[in-house]
Amino acid sequence: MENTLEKTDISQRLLGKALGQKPALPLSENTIEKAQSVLKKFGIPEVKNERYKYANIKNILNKTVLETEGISARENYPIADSLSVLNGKNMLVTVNGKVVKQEISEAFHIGTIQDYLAYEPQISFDEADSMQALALLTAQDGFHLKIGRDTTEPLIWLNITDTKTPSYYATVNCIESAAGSAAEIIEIRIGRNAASFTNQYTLVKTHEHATLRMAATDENLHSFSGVFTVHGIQKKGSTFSHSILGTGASFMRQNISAEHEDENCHTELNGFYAVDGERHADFQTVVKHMFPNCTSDEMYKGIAAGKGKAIFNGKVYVARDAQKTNAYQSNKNILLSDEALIRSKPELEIYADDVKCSHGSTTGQTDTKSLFYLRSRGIREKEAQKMLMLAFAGDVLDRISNESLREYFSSVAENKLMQLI
Amino acid sequence: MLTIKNLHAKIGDKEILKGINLEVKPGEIHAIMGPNGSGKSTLSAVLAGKEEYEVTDGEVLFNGKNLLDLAPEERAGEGIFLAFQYPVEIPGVSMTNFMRTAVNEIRQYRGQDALEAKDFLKLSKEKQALVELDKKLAGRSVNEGFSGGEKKRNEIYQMAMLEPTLSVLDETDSGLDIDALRIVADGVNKLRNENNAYIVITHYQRLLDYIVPDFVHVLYNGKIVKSGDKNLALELEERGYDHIKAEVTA
Ligand SMILES: Nc1ncnc2c1ncn2[C@@H]1O[C@H](COP(=O)(O)OP(=O)(O)O)[C@@H](O)[C@H]1O
Ligand SMILES: [Mg+2]
Repeated sequence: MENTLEKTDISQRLLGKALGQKPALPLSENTIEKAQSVLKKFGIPEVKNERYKYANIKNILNKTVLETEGISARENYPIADSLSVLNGKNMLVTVNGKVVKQEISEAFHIGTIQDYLAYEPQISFDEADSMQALALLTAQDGFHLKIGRDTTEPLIWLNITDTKTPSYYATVNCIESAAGSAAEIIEIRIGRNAASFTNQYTLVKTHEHATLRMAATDENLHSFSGVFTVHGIQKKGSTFSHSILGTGASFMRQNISAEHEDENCHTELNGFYAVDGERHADFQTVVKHMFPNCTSDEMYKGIAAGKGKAIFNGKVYVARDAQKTNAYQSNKNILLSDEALIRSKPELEIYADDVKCSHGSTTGQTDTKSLFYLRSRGIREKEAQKMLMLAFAGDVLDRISNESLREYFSSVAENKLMQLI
Repeated sequence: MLTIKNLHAKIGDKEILKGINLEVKPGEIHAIMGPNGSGKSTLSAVLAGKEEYEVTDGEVLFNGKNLLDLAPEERAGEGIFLAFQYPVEIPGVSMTNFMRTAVNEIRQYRGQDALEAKDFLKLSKEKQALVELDKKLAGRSVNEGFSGGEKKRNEIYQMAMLEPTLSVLDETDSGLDIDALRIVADGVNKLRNENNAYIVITHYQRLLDYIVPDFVHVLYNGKIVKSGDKNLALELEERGYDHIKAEVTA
């Protein structure tokens, strides 16, 4: 009896571990204290938590997970055929947060997060988000990726979760783009064996005039769940972009924030999601304009079918000194069923007066006029719907600059759309 | 080819078509004229299969098949084409992809093999030239950023590509200047043969100087109230619709 009780209340056990044990990562005392107080204050998020209003993490953990640490089920990780288009590029493979394989050009350097923290033990995180605090306190592993100037091919990061039993695990990474570098990273999240829950925190630093484009897909996460956080810190004149394809995981929460630490920064955040069955995809973006002459551009589009849920919450903050800010945000949704749910909440908080900011949010059905036009030309209904949905997704997918990756993402989206219609 | 018998249709609670009868044979051109709001576009939409319109009575036979039982795409496969009064802009769907899909879907329906990419391109160029459609437009999204005249010429280009046997042109002339009108009319005349037929819906007599109809019908208040030859169009031009309205209400 006692045993089962203990097993089911995994979130209690996780809290106990995070608050009562010394963290595995070499965090500073100060960071540990801060993280613990955030975790005490907010607990493991449930509906009361404004930040996670629609994402009851406590419930998901208690329902789906048995262990507080991910133990991998095997040693060898063949790369699935569907990913073969991505072969021949720089390849980084992690399993449950641990680097197991790296085939990378000299422009990249991979170390451990432990080594990074030994130099920089004050890792910053969002002090209103207890999942980030929890990640820092419970992570076992992670990497520190440094990107130098001479990258040519993108880096493919196969981010594999592979667990014997349904488990929670956390990982903390840091990605740093050297001044003047330009690179593209594609994160392919993959779930193997027992469906587990990932809590991943990635700090991204783009140094002066660096360009970093990241894209991630959860298509291969299937019945897995997770909270994935990316926090971008941008130095002068840098560009940071992140594109997410949310088509696969049973539950995914993607937090993205970007903070400008100097002038002339550009942030671009994109997402396309399609949820069916009882799947849940949840996006929370925060762009903090702290300096003048910076721009940000966000476009999230998605489709909800069946009993799927999609949530978008985008915040743009413009500080008083951030004059000449140009911030654009758009969220468009299509609802395919009565039982599907979309929540869209754009928020603008502007304290500067000389800025251009706009945001828009729409939720609707597929356009019957367009559908009829296509069908009247002999195109079968399903095919016509697919064309319209792909066009809808295209706005977002077109923003992936690398051609073969764009094609890969498009084909993933296309396959998903075929299942929805 | 086409037989419409006592066709009634409504949208919501509003009855729009109130008993249409029309017979179209291969090789014929029928003009349908009539004041705004009389139901011309509704008739064309019902023929093409727009689902918002509910047919409450009557039947439509197309080459012996019950047209009203078919989905819009099946009607297109059978040989019906509607040139829209207001062509729809579809951002993100390229003209080329759209037309290649349409041509091959229709070929499949008709039991023909898909066109090879180079044959499609050749056909497409030929038909673009027919209506003097700017090559640049093929690279754009469907109708997006097209001028009014380009949209109408695009409709005729699509018609030429899909080789229908019955084409319904819904006010293809409206918004066209005289040069564009001539281009569109020339296109239609070149495509015309003894096996296909046209229903040309228009407001003005002007188009009928170029596309000469065999029959002219006046649609008013959901019914064909008068039919005649091309002289009827001239008469309407001269005397306006008011005297027809008066005749009908009398
Ligand atoms: N989708 C619709 N909803 C409501 N009323 C409509 C709709 N389509 C057409 N109508 C009405 O039906 C009548 C006929 O319209 P239409 O067929 O467009 O006429 P025409 O093409 O002859 O100008 C008009 O009174 C119009 O307002
Ligand atoms: Mg009309």
